[in-house]
Amino acid sequence: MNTPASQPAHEVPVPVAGFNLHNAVFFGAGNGLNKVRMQVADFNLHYGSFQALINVGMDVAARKITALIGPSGCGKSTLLRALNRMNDLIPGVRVSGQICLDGEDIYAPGVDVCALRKKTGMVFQRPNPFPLSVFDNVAFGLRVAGERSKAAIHETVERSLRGAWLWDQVRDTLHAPALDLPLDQQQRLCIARLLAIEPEVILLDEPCSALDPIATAKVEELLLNLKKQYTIVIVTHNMQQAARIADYTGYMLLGEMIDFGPTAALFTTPTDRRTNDYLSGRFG
Amino acid sequence: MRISPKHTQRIAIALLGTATGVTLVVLLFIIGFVLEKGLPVVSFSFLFSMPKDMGRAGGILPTLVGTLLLPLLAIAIALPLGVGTAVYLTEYTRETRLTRIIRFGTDCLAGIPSIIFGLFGFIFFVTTLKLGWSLLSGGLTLAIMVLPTIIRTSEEAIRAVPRAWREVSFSLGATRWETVTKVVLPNALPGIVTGVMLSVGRSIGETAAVIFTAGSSLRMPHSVFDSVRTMAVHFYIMAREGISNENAYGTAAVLVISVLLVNTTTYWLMENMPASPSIKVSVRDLKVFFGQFQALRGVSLDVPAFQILGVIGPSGSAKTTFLRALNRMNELTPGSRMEGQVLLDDEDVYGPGCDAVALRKRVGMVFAMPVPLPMSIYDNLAYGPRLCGIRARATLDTLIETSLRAAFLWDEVKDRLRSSGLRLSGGQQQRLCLARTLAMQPELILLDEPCSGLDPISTARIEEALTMLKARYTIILVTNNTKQAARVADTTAFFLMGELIEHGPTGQIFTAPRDQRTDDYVTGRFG
Amino acid sequence: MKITREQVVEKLLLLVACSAIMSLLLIAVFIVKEGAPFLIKVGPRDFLLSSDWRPQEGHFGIYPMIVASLWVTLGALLVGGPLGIAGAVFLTEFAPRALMRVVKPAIELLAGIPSVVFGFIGVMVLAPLVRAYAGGPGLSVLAAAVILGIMILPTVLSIAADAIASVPQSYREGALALGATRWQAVHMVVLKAARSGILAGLILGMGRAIGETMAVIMVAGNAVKVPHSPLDSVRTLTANIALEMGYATGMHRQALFATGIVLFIGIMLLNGSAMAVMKQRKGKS
Repeated sequence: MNTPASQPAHEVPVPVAGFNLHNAVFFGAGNGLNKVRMQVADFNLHYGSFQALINVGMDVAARKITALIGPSGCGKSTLLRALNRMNDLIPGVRVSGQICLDGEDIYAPGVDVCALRKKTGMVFQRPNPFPLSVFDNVAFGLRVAGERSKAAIHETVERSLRGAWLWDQVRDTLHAPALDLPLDQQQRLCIARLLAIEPEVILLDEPCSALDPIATAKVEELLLNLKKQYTIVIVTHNMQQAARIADYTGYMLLGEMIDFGPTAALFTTPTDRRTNDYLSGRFG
Repeated sequence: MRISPKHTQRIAIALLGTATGVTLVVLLFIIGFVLEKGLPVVSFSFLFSMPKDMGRAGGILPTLVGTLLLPLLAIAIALPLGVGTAVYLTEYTRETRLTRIIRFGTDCLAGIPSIIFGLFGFIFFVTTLKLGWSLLSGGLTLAIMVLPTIIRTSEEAIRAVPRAWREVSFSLGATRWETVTKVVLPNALPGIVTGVMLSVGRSIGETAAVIFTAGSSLRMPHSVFDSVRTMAVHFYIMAREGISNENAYGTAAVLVISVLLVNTTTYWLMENMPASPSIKVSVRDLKVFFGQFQALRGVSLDVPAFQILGVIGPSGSAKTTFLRALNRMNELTPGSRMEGQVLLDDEDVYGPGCDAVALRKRVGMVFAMPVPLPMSIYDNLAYGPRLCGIRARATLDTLIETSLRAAFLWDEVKDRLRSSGLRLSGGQQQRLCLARTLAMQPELILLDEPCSGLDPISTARIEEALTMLKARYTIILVTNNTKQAARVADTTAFFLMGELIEHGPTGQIFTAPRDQRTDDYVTGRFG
Repeated sequence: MKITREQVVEKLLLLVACSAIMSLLLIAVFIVKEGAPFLIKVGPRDFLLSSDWRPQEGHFGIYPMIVASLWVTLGALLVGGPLGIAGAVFLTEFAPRALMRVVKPAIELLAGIPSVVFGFIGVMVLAPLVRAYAGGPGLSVLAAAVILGIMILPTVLSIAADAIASVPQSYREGALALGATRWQAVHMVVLKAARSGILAGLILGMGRAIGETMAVIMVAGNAVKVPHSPLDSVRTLTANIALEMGYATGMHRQALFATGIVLFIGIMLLNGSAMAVMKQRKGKS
């Protein structure tokens, strides 16, 4: 990692000015210290001439679940993918503003993108296990990092699969192709694959959109369990899902962060009329 | 010490890049070598004079002729067979055991080496059918050799023709064969031509199969039963028997250039085949006057096919005038006058050859207030098709059902098609009007604030129908509801006081408009 | 009346659609008809495993040609395979898109260069090089393998590139999101997913190499003997047919058709396996 020596790591970063009302609630009246893990400030993103994110700001609290909601095309997935620089893969993307992970700007020159992505793991909308065995899927991240010891790999694979509540289902078929698993197990395999690299932040992009309600409930329960150890950001088009599991929720519209705050506050007393319209189902 | 992944990657890319470079250099060297040695030999007299002394001196005229005729003959034989097969496989049958066998046979045929074709052509056409070494034997052999290529490319091209076009054709009462010849094949033509060109390229370069079937006579052929020598064979004989290296190089240069020409053309055709979103409507500097008042002040914009254009702007901004200019409805207003051009599929709708009535059949329109005609639901829908002369009951029935389904109305009215259209709710009436337009099989649908009189739920239904419909139609939607444009339109145009202020992708218009006035309007500051 | 016309058209089209399969059968029947009597008379064992090819004296053993064909084909695969796959990986995964758009068609265009031209280059440029730097007669297994390797390169490259390009983007994203470098993503995931497509490309390239005639005649030297080193001059099955067909009669000609049968079966096996591999890939995805 390349921490400039002059820049001390923030324990509790100063809230960025220019937010809306809820931030006051967020920082002031929280129960004790809510350590901020990731901080997005005045962030803009262009695809060519199209601006997909406009002056977005948000704080991601450690060991909490932060949800991003909004109608399709509002930029919530783009914002999520900005958090681990997956947008870099798309030609013609330009960014300005800041995203900090533990106080360090992830878009600063010289940042090791691979290392960043190891710290901010991502789960995608469609389960995307590699066309390898279950075991090799989970071991992938370790092998990428250069781990050679079989015993260590085996131990981590088991721990990660247990962490994703998948161990009991696959312990006997570890070497079967991952693509043969049912869809919800595939999605939990993708989560296990992440846990193996011990990320600090887990980013989920509509992880339940391909799943049925029962499988969704299971994944939600898993997420609530995982937040004891991990910081989680989830994009969802399902408002009830955000209401059920998220500690903080951000509402986005046409590339802007319209409203951001504790979930309960946002759902009951939104500060912006457009949030209210969306929540009460008037459009989207 | 383990090399870091970063370095491994760098080394890997360097190695892969080198391999690619080597490949390119080798292949370019081959072409360069042949051209450098051969081009100095090539001259007008080399190309167009008869060879002397077995090719040691003189030109290559007869081989040029042979190289031209043999592939032509092969294509003439293989094209009908190949396209016929492709049509049968795509249009006349489902996947059955027979089609699997045909496909398997085609694949096998494609893999057979040319020397086997040569052997077969020799024993079958030359010996058994007693055609001798001749243009005909060679052509037949080559035809079998290129047949798989033509079948495959044609099949691919035919499959790429949108299913909706076939449905339209059937629903207008065409038979399968008429649909194939009038709709499918003309639209698959570029793909089929690609297959033909690939085959020509392969025939020109072929040696083994040709030398055993068409022979190697250096005389000028006078009938299909004469033996011919192609350039490839000529080159082979001269190079192998050491007759004249110089003339061999010359022939090789001509050969390589012709193959590259044929292949480049093919590639160009393939590149240009799936016409990227073509422009359906193109408006050029359109001005509309009502008496002294100029309503539209020089509007230019393009609407790509199969997209929705949203037209927004405060009332009085001439959105509707713009819309009505597209199907010449403004002409019905006395004292109106227009300047500029409106092109529908590159054809000027105000041109002298364009009939306004025929135009309005191609361009469907739905009005702000639903206007069902005072007759049954069924007759409302059948009205347009009947005007066009469609009377067959079965055709009308299918047409009406498809249209109602497309407008998401079928389930609600299927049991009461005979009841009056006026008894439907407002939302249903509007969807009926939409279905009525669809029943006319238009190419372009104009909607003039179709949801202004409807409740949100009906509006949602219509919007849903529109997004489904754009797969088959090009749609222009005038709306007072900017959110509606944001939800359904691919591109949005903002009109103000008869001027087109801004036109662009919907996302851009709503999030990053270039003009301050657009910004003011979409953010609700006026309008 | 319209309906009957439709029926006629359909029957005619069915007939036309059988043209490909009929041609295939016709080819098989006629090659077998010419070659089978010979095979029965001499016996497949003597024909395939004897090294004695003296048609004038009635000795027909094609063992040397079979070995030569295999050597040359494998050699071509060794040359064309790695280069083709490396090129495919580089162009699809690492090269700028603009470069890919220029280079891939250029390489595919070159697939159309007539084989006699490749052969001629082999004779004029490659064989003297081999003679000067490696020894031997120059016209040899080595020269033939290199020339054939270059000839199959476009086939291997373009099929492998298509296979790699059709690997879902989500695999790459998944790997990168776990902190892998692009190269790690490519060789640990993408290449594994594209395995069967790449294999199919190699097999089809092999089919092309084993069936190639004119280029091989020109550069392989055409000596009928079992090769002992890559520098030996050899004659392949295809070359044997093409060289002697012109003047062969009677038994000799039948022997050549029997050689054709062997070639035909070999190619069918190769193409069959390529098709099976491709189908397996389709079934998976």
